[in-house]
Amino acid sequence: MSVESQQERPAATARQQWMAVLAKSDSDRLQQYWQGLALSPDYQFIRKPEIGLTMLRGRIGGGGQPFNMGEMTLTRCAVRLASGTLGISYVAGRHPQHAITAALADALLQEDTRQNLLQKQLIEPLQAELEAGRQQRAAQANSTRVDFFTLVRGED
Amino acid sequence: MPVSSHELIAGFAEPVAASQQVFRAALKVMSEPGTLVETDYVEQAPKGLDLSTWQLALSLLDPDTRVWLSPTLAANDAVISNLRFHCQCPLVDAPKEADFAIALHNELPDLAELNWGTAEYPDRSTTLLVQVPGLNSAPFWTLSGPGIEQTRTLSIAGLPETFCADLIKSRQRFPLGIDIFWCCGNRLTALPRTTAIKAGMTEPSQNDKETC
Repeated sequence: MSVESQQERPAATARQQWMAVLAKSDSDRLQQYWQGLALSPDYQFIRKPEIGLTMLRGRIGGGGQPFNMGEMTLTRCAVRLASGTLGISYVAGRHPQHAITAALADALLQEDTRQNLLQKQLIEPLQAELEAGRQQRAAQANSTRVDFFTLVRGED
Repeated sequence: MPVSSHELIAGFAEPVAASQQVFRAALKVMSEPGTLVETDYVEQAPKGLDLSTWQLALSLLDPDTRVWLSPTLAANDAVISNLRFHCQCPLVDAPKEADFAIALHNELPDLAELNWGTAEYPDRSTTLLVQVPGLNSAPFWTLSGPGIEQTRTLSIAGLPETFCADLIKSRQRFPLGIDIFWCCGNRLTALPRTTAIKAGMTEPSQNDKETC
C-alpha cells in the first residue's frame, strides 16, 4: 500500500480508535475491566479465535521503499451478538481470550445503548493506561538522550 | 469490493476437525465416483448456496485458489462476502483462469471454457462444483471406471442436455478433463474425469427433486 493512499484516508473513526485501544491494551488489564463491567452478552462466533502469522512491513524514514521486516503472531476473532451486531478483533500475539473480549467489546461499542458505559468504564481507563505507559517509556528514553556537537568538516 | 458485514455467517464450529472431515468426504466421493455422502458440519450456508457446496468451499478454498462463480452467485452479496471472509479466495471473471468454478445447474459454463490442464500437468485443470436440485442413485447414468467395482448408477436433476453430452464426450480427451463435484442440500457426490458415463433412457423425474 502506498503512502499516498494512507494519507488520503480520513481521520481515524471512533471505531478505529476503540479497536486500537482494545488491541493494544494489556491482556490482564482488559480482562479486569471487562469482568468489572459484568456484561454477559449472548453471542455466536462467526470466526473462532485463530492464531496465525502476519507480515510486518516497514519503511525507513519517510521516503524509503517498503520492506518486509518479519512475521509476527496474530490472533483474530469475529463474533455476532444476538442483536446482529458484528464485532471484530485483531490482537498481537497468541491471546484467544483477549481476542474474544476485544471482539465482544467492539460489538457492544457499536450499539448505542451500551456505547457510553463502555467508553467511560473500559476504553477511557485503558487508553489512559496506554498513554501513561507510552509517556513513561518516552521519559526513560529521553533521559538517555545525548546531543552531539560536531564541527562541520566540509565534506558535503 | 468490501465485505458486507451484515451478511456474514458462522463458518465451521471446529474449523480444523470439520474441514478435515469434509475433505475426507470429498476424497471418498472422488475415489468412489457416484457414491453419495452427507456432510453436516455447518448449520447454515449463505443464501444461495447449499450446505454441501458451502462446506466444500470452506474446506477446499483458500487464498491460493482462484474461484469463478456463475453469474447469479457472483451477483449474490451473501455468497461473495462469506467466501471472501472465510476463504479469502480471489474471485476471477474468466472460468479459464479459475482453479475452482462454482456454478448453479442452470448456469453451467461450457466445458470448453474451463481450464482442462495441459498434457504435462493435467492436474492443473479447473475443478467444477455444481449445485443441482436433485441428486440420487436412481438409474439414469450408468457409471464405470476406477473406484467402481462393476457399475454404479447416478441421477442428477436439472442438467442441460448439451452439458451432459459434452461431459460424456470429454472423456475422449483423457488425461485432460474436468473433475466435478455435485452438491445438493447436504449431499455430495463427484464424477472425476476417469469415470465413463453411459446415458440412460429416462429423464430424471420430478420425483428425484423431492428426495433432496
